[in-house]
Amino acid sequence: MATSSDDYLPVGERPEWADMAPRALPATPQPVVAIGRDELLGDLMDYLWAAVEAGELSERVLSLTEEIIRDLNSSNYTVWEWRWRCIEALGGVAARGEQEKALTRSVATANPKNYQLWNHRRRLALALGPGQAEEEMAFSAACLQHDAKNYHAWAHRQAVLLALAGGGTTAGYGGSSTGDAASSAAQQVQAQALWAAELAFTERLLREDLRNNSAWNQRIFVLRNAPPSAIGPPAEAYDREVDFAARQLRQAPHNESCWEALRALAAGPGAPRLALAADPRYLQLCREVLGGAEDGDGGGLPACAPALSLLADVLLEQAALLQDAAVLVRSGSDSGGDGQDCGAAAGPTGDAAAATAAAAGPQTLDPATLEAAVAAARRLAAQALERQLAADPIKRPYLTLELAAVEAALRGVAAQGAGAAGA
Amino acid sequence: MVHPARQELLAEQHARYIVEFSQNKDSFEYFATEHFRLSGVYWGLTALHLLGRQAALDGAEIVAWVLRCQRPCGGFGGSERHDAHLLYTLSALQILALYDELDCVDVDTVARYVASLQQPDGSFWGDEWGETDTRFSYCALSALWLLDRLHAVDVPAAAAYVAACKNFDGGFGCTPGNESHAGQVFTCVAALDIAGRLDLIDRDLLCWWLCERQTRSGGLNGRPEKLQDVCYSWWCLSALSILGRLHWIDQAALTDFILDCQDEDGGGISDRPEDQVDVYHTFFGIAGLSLMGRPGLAPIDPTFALPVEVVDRLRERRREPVAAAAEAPVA
Ligand SMILES: [Zn+2]
Repeated sequence: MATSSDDYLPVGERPEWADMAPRALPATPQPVVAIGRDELLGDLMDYLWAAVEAGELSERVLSLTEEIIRDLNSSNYTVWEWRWRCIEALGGVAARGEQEKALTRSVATANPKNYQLWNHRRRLALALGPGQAEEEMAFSAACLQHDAKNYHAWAHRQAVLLALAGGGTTAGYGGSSTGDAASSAAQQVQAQALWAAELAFTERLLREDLRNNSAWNQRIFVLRNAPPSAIGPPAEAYDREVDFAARQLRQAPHNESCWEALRALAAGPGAPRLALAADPRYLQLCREVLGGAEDGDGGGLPACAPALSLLADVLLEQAALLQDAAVLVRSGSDSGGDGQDCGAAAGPTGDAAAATAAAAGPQTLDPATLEAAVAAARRLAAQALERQLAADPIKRPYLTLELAAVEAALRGVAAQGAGAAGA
Repeated sequence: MVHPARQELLAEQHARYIVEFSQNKDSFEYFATEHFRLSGVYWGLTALHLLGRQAALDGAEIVAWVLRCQRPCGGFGGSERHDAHLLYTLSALQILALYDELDCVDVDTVARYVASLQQPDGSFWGDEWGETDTRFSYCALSALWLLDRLHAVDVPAAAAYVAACKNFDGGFGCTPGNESHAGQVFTCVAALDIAGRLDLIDRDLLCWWLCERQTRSGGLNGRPEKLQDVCYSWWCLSALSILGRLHWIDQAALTDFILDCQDEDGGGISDRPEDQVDVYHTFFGIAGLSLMGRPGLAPIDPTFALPVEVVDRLRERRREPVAAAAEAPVA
């Protein structure tokens, strides 16, 4: 990429710079810090410093910054900033947009992880407004084609969506500049299309690489920020996404990112309370992946640590649901509504007591039976963690502690329970 | 298995590598890194301090150079001719703290510069040009703490912005909604620590995510399905250490991974075994070993990324005179 020394014309010999003297650094000896000189870059920079010092914003300075950025050093933030000031002084982004798009495209090809490039591009996009959104998505998509996990490219998409396509639950952060009232109907249609297209985009990238955590994160971002008009009401979107993740998981059961996404969905908009337990799909997935024997002692089963980890959480949430029910029964409430959650949760522990609880509903059960079910769920969670320890020995220090915590909880249940705990 | 020549920390070689690198001023690379030279100097010097070899470089000359990087606005540029930026303002103050020379700057001018970059939503711009990133929140709070001027900014708002960058997995990203990344996790956890708001962190969930960063190599990665890299020894470990969960990862395996990234011939540490060494990974490798209590290394403070001795000195001094004076409430 670097300009070869052969066809390089020193700035001092260029007619347009004849009136300006370069500004070089004083050559004081400094251990650690003295600046080594590369003649070519040094020459260009000395003239740029002179221009900066003189406060000059001109065509020739603009070309100088381009020469430095393209050929020598694309990550010097002062050079980019001075370039931006030149653009603003020379007609602004409306007049200079195409030139800046071309420059950022070329830098992105050579050095796609350059912070300054992405900062410049985002400034440009936001200054150009909603009409620029689609081209920005295409620009970052092109970068993601080479590195599907490029952090800057994903952040760029989020910034563009939030600023140019409205929506956003993170009110006040990243702020949407196109207020609903202010934007035209056509703009709103375009905004909806952008959000919907983002879901399709991540789906395409996940088809290429199921383990792309950035793409998973982006889906969660869309679910949390897109207007319902673009992706449907929250409960519906939640439902659809859990099914989507389940389908992906069946193709690659060991995929940590997908398991994390499931956890995120369970905690996100549209999910029921204590969703890991209340929505039977999570437990079913764990069972499918782990061979349906989470209550055995696991000899010869696939060692899928994230599945075991989620299973433990599912069981702990079941215990929480059951405990709620026990409190309800003890306080003499006869509300039947909450019992449904409890029933859905208790059955899958596979424990006899829990199964009874599931069949009967809380209002017909005594607290002792419910507490036995809580204990059973916790015991199964402990077993899941134990198997995870065997599957993934490098996590030993953490899991040992987690296990100790579950066991302590079990002891607590046994102590307070009515003698049926551990059944 | 650690290479037989790398079983021990090669302290002498690393110190020599840093000093020689600092003095080789003729390479293109050296010139092209001019814009972040202050950070490079901070990495090298802190590593030398941790190794107990700080006398290898001339402190007076370094301090004089750091002061030449200050701009009239109070902030510091990456080197003498660069515009002020929060990243380099923090590096400059860290270097001055290492030499106990923070008195050389006008504390209020620097604090005003930092405060000028805070936005209404509590976030910080890196410089006057509007890039927002939780890295800058950390730089601002850390710099102000070093200056004993935390009250110059709206600390609760700063903490609230960082908390808004928390993700479903317990981790943190650059701005709200961005993917969790171990580097950002360090800056966010440390920023919340300085703000006195560790309660905003989902401790168990985050520490579990950080533990998941350890791969079978013993090394740590920065995001799921990415390669392990020595610099994440610092980003993940410092956060675990601040949250009191250092014992949640396999420290022996991580130690072996870092040791195996040493260059037994020229000194220095690389990102992965057999790769090219650099000052950045040399510092973060040594810092990670220091956090794990490696004998022969001075302990490092996980929040300020400075030797504990330096941070303690600042704390002591604040306690002595007019202790009651600056009790500005921050929460
Ligand atoms: Zn690295």
